[in-house]
Amino acid sequence: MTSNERHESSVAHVTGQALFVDDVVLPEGALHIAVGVAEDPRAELTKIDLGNVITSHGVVDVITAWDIPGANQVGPVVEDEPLLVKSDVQYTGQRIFAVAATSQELARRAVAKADIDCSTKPAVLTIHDALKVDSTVTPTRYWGEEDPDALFDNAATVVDESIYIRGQEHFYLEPQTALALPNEDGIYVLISSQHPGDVQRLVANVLGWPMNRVTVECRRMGGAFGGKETQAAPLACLCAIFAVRQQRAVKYTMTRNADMTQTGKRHDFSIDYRISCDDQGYLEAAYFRLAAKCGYSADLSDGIVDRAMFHVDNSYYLPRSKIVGHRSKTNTVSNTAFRGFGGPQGMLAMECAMDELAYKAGLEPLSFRQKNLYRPGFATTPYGQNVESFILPELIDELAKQASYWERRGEIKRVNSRGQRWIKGISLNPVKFGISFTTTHLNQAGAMINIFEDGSIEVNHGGTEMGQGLYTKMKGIVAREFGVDVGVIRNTSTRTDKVPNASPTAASSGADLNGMAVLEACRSIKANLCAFARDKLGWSSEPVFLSNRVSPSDDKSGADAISFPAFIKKAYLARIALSAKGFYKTPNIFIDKDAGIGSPFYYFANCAAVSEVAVDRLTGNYFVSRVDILHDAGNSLNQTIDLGQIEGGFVQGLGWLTTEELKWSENGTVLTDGPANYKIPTAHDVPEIFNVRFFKRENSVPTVSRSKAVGEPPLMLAISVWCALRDACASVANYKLMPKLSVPATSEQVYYCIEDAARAASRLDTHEAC
Amino acid sequence: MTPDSEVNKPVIIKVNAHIYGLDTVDPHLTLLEFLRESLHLRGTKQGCGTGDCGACTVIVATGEAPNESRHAINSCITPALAVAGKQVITVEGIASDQGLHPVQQAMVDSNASQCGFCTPGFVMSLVDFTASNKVSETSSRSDVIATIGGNLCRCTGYRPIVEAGLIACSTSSDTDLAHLRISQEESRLLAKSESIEGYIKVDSESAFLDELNTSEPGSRLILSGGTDAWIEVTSRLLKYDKIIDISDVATLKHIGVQDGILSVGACTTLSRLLSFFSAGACRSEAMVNLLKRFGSKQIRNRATIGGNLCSASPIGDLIPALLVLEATAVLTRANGSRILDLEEFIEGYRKTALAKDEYLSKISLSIPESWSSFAFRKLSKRYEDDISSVSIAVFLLHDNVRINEIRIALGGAGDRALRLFEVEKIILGRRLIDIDWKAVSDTLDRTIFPISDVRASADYRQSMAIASIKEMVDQFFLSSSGS
Repeated sequence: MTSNERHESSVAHVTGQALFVDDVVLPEGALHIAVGVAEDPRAELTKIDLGNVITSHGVVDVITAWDIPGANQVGPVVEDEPLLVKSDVQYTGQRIFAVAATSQELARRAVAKADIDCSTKPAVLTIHDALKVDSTVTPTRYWGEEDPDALFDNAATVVDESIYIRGQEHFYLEPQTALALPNEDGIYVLISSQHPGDVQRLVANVLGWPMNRVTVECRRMGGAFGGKETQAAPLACLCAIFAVRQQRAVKYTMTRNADMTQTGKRHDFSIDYRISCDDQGYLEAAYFRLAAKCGYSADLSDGIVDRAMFHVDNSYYLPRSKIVGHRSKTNTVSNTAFRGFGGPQGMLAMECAMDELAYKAGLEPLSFRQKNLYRPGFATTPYGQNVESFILPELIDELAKQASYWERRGEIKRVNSRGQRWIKGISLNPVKFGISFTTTHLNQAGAMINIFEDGSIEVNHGGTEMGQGLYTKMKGIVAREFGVDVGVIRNTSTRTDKVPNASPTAASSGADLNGMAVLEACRSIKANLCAFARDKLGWSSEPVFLSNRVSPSDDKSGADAISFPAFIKKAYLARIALSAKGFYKTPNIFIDKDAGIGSPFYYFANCAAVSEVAVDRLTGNYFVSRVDILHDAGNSLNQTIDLGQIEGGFVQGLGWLTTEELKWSENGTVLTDGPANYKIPTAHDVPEIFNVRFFKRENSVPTVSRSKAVGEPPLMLAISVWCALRDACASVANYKLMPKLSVPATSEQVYYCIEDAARAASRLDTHEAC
Repeated sequence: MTPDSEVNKPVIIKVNAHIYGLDTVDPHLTLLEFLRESLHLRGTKQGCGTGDCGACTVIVATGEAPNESRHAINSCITPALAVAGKQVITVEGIASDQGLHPVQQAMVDSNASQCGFCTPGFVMSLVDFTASNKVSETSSRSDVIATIGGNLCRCTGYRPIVEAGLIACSTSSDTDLAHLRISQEESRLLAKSESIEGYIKVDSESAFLDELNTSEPGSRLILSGGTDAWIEVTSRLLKYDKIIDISDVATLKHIGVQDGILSVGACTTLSRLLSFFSAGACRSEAMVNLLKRFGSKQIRNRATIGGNLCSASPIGDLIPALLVLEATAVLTRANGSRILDLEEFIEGYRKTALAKDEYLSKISLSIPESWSSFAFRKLSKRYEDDISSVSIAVFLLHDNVRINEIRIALGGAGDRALRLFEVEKIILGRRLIDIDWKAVSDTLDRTIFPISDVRASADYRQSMAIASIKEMVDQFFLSSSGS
């Protein structure tokens, strides 16, 4: 069932015709927003004098918290996020007032004229400080055994370590943007958001209206990666309030600087762990204590920490475990969803621990990993879900062969032993990623198919297009169902009035959920068409839809075949319903989050990567020389699209773990506030040898075409680069110990890792000499 | 034919195939805003507003010669009026009656777009690359990568974009943009474009001097490439009474060699400097490597050597190089010129010796007997388009035994780029094995004062300074004995 249709917007992209929100030509009199924000991490506002703002050139309207007609609340899950702060400032960058002016520049100039006083209060800025004062956004969860200390009695080998994993800026190329237009029924919002449904709910909420007065549309996003799951809604709310007050179009496009300082990022995690194996090299027990830097509000942090907790096992069977997840509240911008949603941090801690444990037990890291993979009889995850499909043992074997892992590992060790300036490292790391929203109710989707009397088809669904190719995949499904060319199908833009109550396009679930809903809608119309063929056309067998034609299945000669448009025209004239809705909900999933027991995932996506790096001992500079990936996308819905997700996800993960270093000031502002100082990968950073292959195996559970989700898992494949860098550094200590390496592993950090390894090596030598 | 109503306006700009005549343009308007807001050409995107992401890349062309005169630039940090009298080519203009431009087709065929926001910028970078005689049969993956070093994509992981670039190298031809050529008539028309109040484009040094003498430093902006200065306008919303654009002063763009002295006009772009050092008598691999890692291609097409020196950044990649090459700066004012050593010219953190009625006209240096006596290293978090944490330049002469001449300069280790005179003294006259590296290290500890910032820690900078100097000195001996 695999197809390779190109991205449905590719021609529009390369010609500049693809419209983004900021590209829409505005009606006359349209206004632009800029926002005044707090400059302290924690404070009580004592004066908000906006006199000079109101009189500033070009300003039409100014609002504060007191001007919000409905609820001053934009929290997506917990109601802890004011649209505009009244007095209790919770982070540097928090919105205090908004200005609508005739141009963005005039709005920005006006904002600078505000006279705001406050009395500062002590702020909590780090996870460490938050843990000390037990500051959390939602309660800590404790899963697994009661007494973690008892887990490690009599263990042959134990590692007791910690890792601090820094966050990541999304750096979608299109900054956050929203546009609101008032109309007779209420308001229309055009937005760049992964979750138009929640934008609709929150806009209605701040206006004090029912949701049926608000229509939200998203045609495409210029990248999102989780950063537009919740973070776009406040922009829409501000636009909507001004649009209703002024009865004109209102747009708010953030500057890159505002976006990077005022919107959430990937969570920092501080993870302490203890992990043990027996004298045979089998894992025995693990204790993970995770603490995430959530920022000042809950946002999606509860689910993100849960997912981190669900993924500390990565691909390995842990007979006994204790997993604790703190949701630390800090006076910083509220962190949010980012591709992987906590999974990458949990998994990285485990992969880090696996290397340390292998070294300590004197085992080769890959053999140690292979030995401990989930396998028949050793298949229960720490949260009680059984792994049912054992893909990884075979996948890893195949990848190791394809990439000549063992030969290269031997060669690298040999070359490294010569003590030259450039050293190499290699690592193979697997990924097992749970597919489904762990918030069970979100695992639902709706779709709508309209076939028009000329035979052209419209497909619409609750999923959004952020570049990942969802629309392309959905068109592919419809094309296959009706046996027509994709050219006759249009996937129209995502709108809350076409498919209501849609979940966010997130958790890699877009194609799984919407695909099944689309399929359902197609089949519903096909049922009508089958009845029509039988009853009205007198066909004695089921119609077959193939090659833009419809024919009875027993018509071997093709004499009775009719073109698809002609068939549809006949059906229309016979008064057959040519429009249908489809609905899908994922079966068989449940979870008790407080107990940490259940079966939250419909299935697992699997993949693995081998990365090789070359490191300059002198400076810590390095490059990734080769990457081999083997990816389980099930029966891929579209290999072209999936390849793009795998390559792109990997490089995004590479950035997270290498050059993307978020730095914070002492008052909790992010210092890396633009691409001049926050460095995402360029083409130069991509390995020259970059082999991506598909592990072709159909999904064991019934998904659309037996495909598997592919959005997030590849990001975590970049963990192999981080581990390879560490492996190279370990060579400096003659592979006798695993030196600590920071995240991200910038050249500077790799340099220090080498220094540490060298120092440790000389200590070991002295020790051995004694 | 261009309508008369367009012809008789003071400001004339050709965008794609159309000539626009304009009564006035806000002197502070950026080219990107002009394209998007005034002309409703929304294909060109704003991703960052600081020239770091490349989503706003367009091509600027001058004159009738189609190829040499076309350059990709960042429209988000270019004043709209900087292109008055020129042609701007945007993503909307490159497809012709024959269909998509070969670059566009290659991007489609290679599945090189996902979200599509960065795509127009990549397309324009690659169009510039493939259409500007920059492609040869030896054009390789690394050339394509270098050409898109200033374009960020967050979706694809770049592999398909590089592939598209390689395909387009072989499918592009000189005639792809034939429909956008500037005709003779248009060329004459464009030449008539005039300065307007608030944005003066001077065409000679004397006109520049007139403007200097009738304006005050605080209220004027002297601008050539503006890759640094214009960010202040867009990010901090600075306003000036007068913007003096000197980018078209021909005498300030001269590169010449006479009697072993290389002199480079202050308005020479880094791209021209890069071509200069890439071939011919002054071919220098070290200078080429330095310049290739200076900003991005779009930046280098606008940024100038004079702008680099006058901004006197503490890192200023070219500055350490020019310091060890003992470059001098020629400062010109109405009643004559003076020549300063670079150390005198740069007085401190972003501070130069320029008087308010004076300008930097050129930079001169003695061409070394062999460029192999010059070396440069740059350390940065990211390889492409990143500001150095530390940059190190060394000039060294030796007779395979002793070091007979050495000059070392460092960027990123204090309030300005520094010559390390004391370190030089320790090394000068020594044999390689006799160099007291401990003394070098101690001296560095005493004499350089790097800071910790977002790019690197002070400690790392300090360590890299010593490590790099040692590595470079060693390398001078290694490479000469090897040959």
